[in-house]
Amino acid sequence: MITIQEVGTEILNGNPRNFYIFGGNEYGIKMKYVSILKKHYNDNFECYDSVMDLIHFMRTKHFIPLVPTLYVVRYDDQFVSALDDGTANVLKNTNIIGTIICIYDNDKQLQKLDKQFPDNTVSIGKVSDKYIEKYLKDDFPDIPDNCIKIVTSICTDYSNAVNICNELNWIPKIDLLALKESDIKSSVFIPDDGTYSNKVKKCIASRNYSVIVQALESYHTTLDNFLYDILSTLVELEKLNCVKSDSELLPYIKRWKIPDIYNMFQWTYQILNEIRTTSVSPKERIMFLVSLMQFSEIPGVNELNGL
Amino acid sequence: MDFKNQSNALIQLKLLSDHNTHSILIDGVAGSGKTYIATKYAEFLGIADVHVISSNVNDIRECIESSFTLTNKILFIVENADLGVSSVFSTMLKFLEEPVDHVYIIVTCRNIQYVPDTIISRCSTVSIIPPTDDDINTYAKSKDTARFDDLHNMKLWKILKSFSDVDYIYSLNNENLNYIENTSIEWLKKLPISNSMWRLNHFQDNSQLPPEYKVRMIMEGSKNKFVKDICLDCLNDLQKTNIASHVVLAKFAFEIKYAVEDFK
Repeated sequence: MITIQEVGTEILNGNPRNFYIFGGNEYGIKMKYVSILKKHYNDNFECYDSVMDLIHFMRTKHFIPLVPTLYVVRYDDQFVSALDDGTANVLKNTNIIGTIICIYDNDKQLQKLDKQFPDNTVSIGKVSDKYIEKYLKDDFPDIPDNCIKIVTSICTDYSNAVNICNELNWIPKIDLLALKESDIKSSVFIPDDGTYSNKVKKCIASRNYSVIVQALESYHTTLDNFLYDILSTLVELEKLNCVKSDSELLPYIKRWKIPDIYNMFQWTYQILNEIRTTSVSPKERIMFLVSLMQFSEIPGVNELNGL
Repeated sequence: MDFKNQSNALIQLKLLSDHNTHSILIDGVAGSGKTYIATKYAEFLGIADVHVISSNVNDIRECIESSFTLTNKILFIVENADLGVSSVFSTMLKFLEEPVDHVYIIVTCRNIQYVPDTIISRCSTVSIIPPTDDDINTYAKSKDTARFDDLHNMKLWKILKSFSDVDYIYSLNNENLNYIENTSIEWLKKLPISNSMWRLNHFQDNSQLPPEYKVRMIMEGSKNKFVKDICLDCLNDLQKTNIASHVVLAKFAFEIKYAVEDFK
């Protein structure tokens, strides 16, 4: 069996083998390697249900030469149960154009596979905190180090850490710097609709294009509701302009002058009306709204319509 | 009781009953007496069995299915079909196209623009105009003369546009009547939008107030053309119902507060 360090070095250096068998229960690292290899093969990526079908495909003569591709086969139990010296030899003598990755998580299956393919099998178990921290820093460059450290200390494994970071990634950086361990734990492990809605509102109030787009991409209900979230954010910002009160949107109030709030409200209302009465694409119209937020002074509805 | 706004519609319905018309669409603003004149159609045809149903698919389906088992004449009145979802229309379509002999159906709507052509083309359309001031007074007197004497000199009497408005105003206690009566727009300039939204559709005891009354009072009390236009837009949007009423009110409050320079 080869070690995870060997495999990691080969993949990260852009020098992968033609065939890997990934075992073990650290799904996050397996997926990280798959994503690196996808990039290595310029997104030439295919999934197969059966290893033998894939081998058959490789051994067939092709009129147009195959492009080096990453092939992933997940949990092909039949291949393991039918595996013998003959099958193993067929695979070893196949000219693989690209890399095949077979993913398993059953230890017994991995032992059997290791006997036939000791130079291709790797058990990817839990990696140390040091590596998790290193990987997270690479994968999430926008998340401050203090948050990465907290995530590393509270996560159960790398895939759990990635999930937490995905969620943190669309919180504005200004807030991330002030986050404490208890904040991260509560935001990640105590799901709450109110909390979720507040996060979306904070993203909108930030006027940060990438943050809003990320919030939009991972929005979990209909896009109509995203428009309602914009409207309620604007109403809350207007209130904060009149009366300074305790609110999660308070840090963003300086980014919104009253004419911006007013014009943005008018635009959002107009687009909500359009979406309800015509067949325009909600996502495109919302992206238009988000782009309007990038103006230092948001233009009025009549101002832009008159152009 | 005869009302001016319904007289033409009733003549038309009488003619349709003479020709034994099975499918009728009645178009008219909220509270103009659409359901009332639909029941008159039953009288013209001598039908005792009248069912008023709301525009939801399950209720309509149930009525259609039950009608096949009956032998007596029956009239279904589907109220405000334009407020229902589009599947309401497809549910009714076959029924309107091939009516059973003993079944009559009247569909009412507040805004014919939201009724598909497929429905309009399969019905005889009867339009009913909004009630006149005289109609409203006649109706109010017939309901409760003493209450009419108390209320008809108030400013709010001018904002009543339909028979259902009269019913609603009659149902209010004096405190709530005065709350509507004393509506002004000065506070809209001072309060945050979120508070204004709340005040526009709630009484002081936090019970619900239909949003159009305060908007109509503001329109009635203002001489500013711009304010009147904002109020009209708001009332139109509230009627359309494609946007939640609290959002329409927020837009209204935003416009009054920030777009009107001198609102007196």
